Amino acid sequence: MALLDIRGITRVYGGRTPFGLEPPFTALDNVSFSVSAGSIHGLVGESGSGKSTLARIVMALDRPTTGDIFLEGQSLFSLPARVLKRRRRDFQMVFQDPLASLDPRYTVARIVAEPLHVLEQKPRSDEVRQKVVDSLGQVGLSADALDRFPHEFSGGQRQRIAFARALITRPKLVVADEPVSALDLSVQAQVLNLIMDMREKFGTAFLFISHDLAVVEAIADQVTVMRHGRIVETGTVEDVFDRPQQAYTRELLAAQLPLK
Amino acid sequence: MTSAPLLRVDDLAVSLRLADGRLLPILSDISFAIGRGETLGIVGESGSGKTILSLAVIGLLPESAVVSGQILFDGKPLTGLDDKSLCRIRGSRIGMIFQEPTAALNPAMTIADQVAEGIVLHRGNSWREARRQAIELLDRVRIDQAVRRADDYPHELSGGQRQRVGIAIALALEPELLIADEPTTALDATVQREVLGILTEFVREKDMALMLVSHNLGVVAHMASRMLVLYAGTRMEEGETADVLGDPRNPYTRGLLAALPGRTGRGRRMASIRGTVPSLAHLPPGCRFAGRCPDEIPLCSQDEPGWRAFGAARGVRCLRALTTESV
Amino acid sequence: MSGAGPATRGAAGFRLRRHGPLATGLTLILLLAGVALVSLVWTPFPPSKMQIMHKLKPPFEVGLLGTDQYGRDVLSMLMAGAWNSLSIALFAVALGAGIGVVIGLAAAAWRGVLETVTMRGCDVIFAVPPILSAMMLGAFIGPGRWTAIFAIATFMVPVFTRITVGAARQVWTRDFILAARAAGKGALLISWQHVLPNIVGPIIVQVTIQLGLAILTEAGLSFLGLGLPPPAPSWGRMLAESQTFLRVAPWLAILPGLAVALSVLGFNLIGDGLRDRLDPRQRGHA
Repeated sequence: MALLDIRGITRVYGGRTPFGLEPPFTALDNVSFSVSAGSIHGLVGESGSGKSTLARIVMALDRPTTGDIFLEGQSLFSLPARVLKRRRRDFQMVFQDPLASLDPRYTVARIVAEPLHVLEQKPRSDEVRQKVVDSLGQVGLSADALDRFPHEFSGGQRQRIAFARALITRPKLVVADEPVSALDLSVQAQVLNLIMDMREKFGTAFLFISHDLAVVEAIADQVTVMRHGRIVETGTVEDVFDRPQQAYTRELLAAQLPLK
Repeated sequence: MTSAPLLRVDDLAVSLRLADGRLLPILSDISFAIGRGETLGIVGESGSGKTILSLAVIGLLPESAVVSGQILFDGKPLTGLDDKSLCRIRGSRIGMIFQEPTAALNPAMTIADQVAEGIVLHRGNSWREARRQAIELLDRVRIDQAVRRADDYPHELSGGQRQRVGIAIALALEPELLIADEPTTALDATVQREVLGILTEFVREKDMALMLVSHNLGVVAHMASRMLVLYAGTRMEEGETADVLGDPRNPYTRGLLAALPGRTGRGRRMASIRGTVPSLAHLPPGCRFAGRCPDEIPLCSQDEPGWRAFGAARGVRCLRALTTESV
Repeated sequence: MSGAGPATRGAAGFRLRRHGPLATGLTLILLLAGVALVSLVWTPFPPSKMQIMHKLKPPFEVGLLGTDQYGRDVLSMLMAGAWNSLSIALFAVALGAGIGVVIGLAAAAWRGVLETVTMRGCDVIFAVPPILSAMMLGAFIGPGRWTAIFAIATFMVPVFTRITVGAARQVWTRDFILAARAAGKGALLISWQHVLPNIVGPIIVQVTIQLGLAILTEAGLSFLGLGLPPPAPSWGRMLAESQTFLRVAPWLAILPGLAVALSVLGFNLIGDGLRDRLDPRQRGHA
């Protein structure tokens, strides 16, 4: 059984609303694929492909029009709200813009500790502090970051803080939506290494969403290609990059700018 | 370059005056030249000062900026020009494309009008004639069904289309020099190819000089014949693109190249540059890359190394680059 | 920043432009508050004490600022009036902001029908000028301190609701809100923990501006006889009563008018100064 099973997800916006009829827009159309435990699964697509919409649905932050998400065989959207909240400890998210994903008014300690809210037994404050320090340590940040604010850090460091937050409940799955797109080249490498370290150390699976094929090729095991809300192709990195089956995939690969 | 370069920047230094009166240095010791028909790629990450450099060349620095050094355009100095003369040059002889296509367009004007505006202003054509030229241009930048879409507003277009409109606006007056600040960063790979293709066409046809600022080495490699590497406000390396990428002399350049995804193979850890870019307010003593450089020696933290030219049109700022000579 | 002439270039000029309005505004308002508080324990003369033999004396003869037609000391009346104006304004704005912000947060969090009803409700209230609602309230509960407060507050609620909804909606689109939802937090908790702290800036600016408006409105109400009834001293009523004596005792009109103007100016300057400080901070340098 796969860790994450995305089945027949369709998301349509608009249609009939309390204020009248709006033209319907299909962001996702019958999307299905699976992510295995401990794997890094790349999801590539251009703007408008629906990858961010899918990310939100996988995170149960948005309801699909039809279809369901199964985490370790359990249907997320059939769960009562309380149970879903507890389950959130197993899946967390990292966003594209490190500055926007951290509340500028919160200290790093409060930011990183936030997901602990889903735990049944809320840990004591000294335990919380220790967990935060540990999580920051995992991502290469020292404890003196605790009482500082996001704006005091660089883009790469903020993204590490975001990862520390995502990893504090030791989730089985992290959905990373363009986690390195806003970062400089040198910092990008650091964060990608971090992802690979987390997978090795804790067996965390990553759904790695990106429009940058070179990055996906560098760290992913499996790849799914999306376009206009539909899946174009799925397979291992070797399959998709070396032996692309679909014309669109070939088009994407051809559009890359090689060096030298 | 056999003839005098179109754009020459000499010892440019830019500082910003802060709210409390202090001076914050942003750029220092920047010199380069671009000839007609030539594309210079300026590579810089965040905190390198590349945007300030673009603004300095086009004369759009904020009021709080203090500039020293010279910017010569077609032999005549741009620094110190009054606003009126600058306005005449800006737009018609020097054009600029910005990074964020949405922010650079006026949401309350149709795209044809925005392209035509410059033509009316600088050439004195009638609006009707200008609009006709505008539609031709929109077609040129591959906005399909340009005639129909001429009266669309920016929000009705996709990101890629907006950037192409931005290019049309910049190219409407056939500038001699075009400054492109991260022109394709916000675009998908397929659109990026097209947009860069359009720029290349114009460079070739109109003998236009192109100053292409980007953090993307692939874009620079694809477009620029020569490149300049910026770091923390100063230049680190310069030369023909093939030379710099094939035989980088500055450890920062080498670090950038090594950090490219794909260099180490699938699923392998990537080489990264340790540490972070220093804040311009707190530069380390000596070389700005000290503390992050894998090749540094104690001397590196004492005095900032000077710029050394070598070979054919190459230059580097690094104590160790030319002493450990690699043939 | 605009309007930089040769006198205001350079380091010192920068500081002047940046802190000038705020400092001036704060000075004016601190003066106002100081005078108002002092008036609670001391005024040169009791404000309502009539000394008919000293009526209509110009400034510096009897009282520092002269006397009115009943011989009451103008300075004392201004001081007591300051307390009345300020306290009514503070209450009204506190009430209006308190209710308005809560409604605004709810509308931004739950959107849909609640938001639509809220916004249209604001439109309805905006259609009725505060003077009119004061008159209507006055008909029900009689003129007085609380009529003024409620009338002014009624107008404040939609102002703050609108500001809050606008600012809150922007905050709701940001990724850290999504992160909070991924951490299992509900709309109520998020509104309180994340949205409100991030919109205090514009709200505080609005509070200062509305305080100035409240003082102006209160003066207007008193001028029309709808505010505090006599003998409570009030700037507005002083203005009203001074009309008949404009020729012989112009200071009776000028002084309370000046008091109102300076108070409103003070609050506006603070509001402007605060607004400037809050915005560029976020945008930073080029």
